Amino acid sequence: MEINKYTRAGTLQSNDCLIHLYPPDQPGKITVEIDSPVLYEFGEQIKKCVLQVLADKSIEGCRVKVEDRGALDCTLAARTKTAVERAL
Amino acid sequence: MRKLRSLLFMPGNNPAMLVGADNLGADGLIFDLEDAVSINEKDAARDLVCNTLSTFSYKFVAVRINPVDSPYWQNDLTAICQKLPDAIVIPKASVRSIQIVEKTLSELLGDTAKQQMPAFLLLLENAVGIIEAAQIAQSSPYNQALLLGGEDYSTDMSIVRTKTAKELEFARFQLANVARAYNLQAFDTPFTDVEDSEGLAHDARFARSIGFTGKLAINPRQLQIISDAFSPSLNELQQARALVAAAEEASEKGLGVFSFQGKMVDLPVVRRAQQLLEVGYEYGLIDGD
Repeated sequence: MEINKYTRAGTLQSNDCLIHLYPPDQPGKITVEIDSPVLYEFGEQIKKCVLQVLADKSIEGCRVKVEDRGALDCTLAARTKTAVERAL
Repeated sequence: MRKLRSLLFMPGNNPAMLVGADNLGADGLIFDLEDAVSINEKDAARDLVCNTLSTFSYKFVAVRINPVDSPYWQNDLTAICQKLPDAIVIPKASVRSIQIVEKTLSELLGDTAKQQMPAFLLLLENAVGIIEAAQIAQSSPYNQALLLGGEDYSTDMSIVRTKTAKELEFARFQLANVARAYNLQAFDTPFTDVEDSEGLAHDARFARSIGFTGKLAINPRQLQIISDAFSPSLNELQQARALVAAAEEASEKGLGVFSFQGKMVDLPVVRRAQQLLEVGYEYGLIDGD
């Protein structure tokens, strides 16, 4: 399944994140862009967390932009799930 | 359900508050999916609360779902079934709404419903709820506490809330009395002026004096004051301990009524002292011996 409209979920408050979800740049491709104060330390973990939710939701094509403000994994996953469900 | 003095509301869509909530000093927490969450963010709050419950453990946590006459409550229940909280706060509680929630949860939980069912904390916040408090209290075996929602109650009654809360007296006495009659805990309405510590202390002491066992809180700054107000003082505990010891001595002598510090003491007074000691023990204020 591919995302075919823009949605977002979350906030830019401390300990939260704002997930932007767009249709994919190319069909069948997932790209994740991350803006985070802890990108160097946790960038891979943030990406992994987002991709896991997309996989759980059977999303095979989308572009994700993560504006992270120090969100824990459970928050990242919740916001990604909400954004995906808003797109479906 | 263990005895709680304070229950602190936490907005369900705020991760910073949910994650750190257990360190604030509340006896229990209420993750709010109702009034603290805007209509456009109900889905986000539900996902966040669900994930937070699955990730962290809390001393005691309840979730306030949306009312059964709203379009949100079923999704709320479905979400929290993935990781059940200790309790569910049912807003605008009525016999019907409690039965609906119980039936829906039973269906969602299937064969394990009886073992897993969370406690029901019933928020009474309209005129009918206060009048029918006794029926509501008896409506489910999972009912564990009555909570007074003074703001919605005032709106329903078309009355103005004041600092003295004189206008809430009937509701408060009724709720405390019903809760005691059916062995439920009773939580007083929140004190909304978070800057007025003295007012809160006075309000909480009054609530305790008429039978409430705890109070709802809307700000962490209120927690210590509430805990103090609903805890027996050291002096009260020492007196109770001495009285119970005197009662045991009198009983050994075959006396039903005896004199303690110049006053006649009978069974209800002894029972009250024993209850006070039980509360002190439960709150960790005294040891169990």
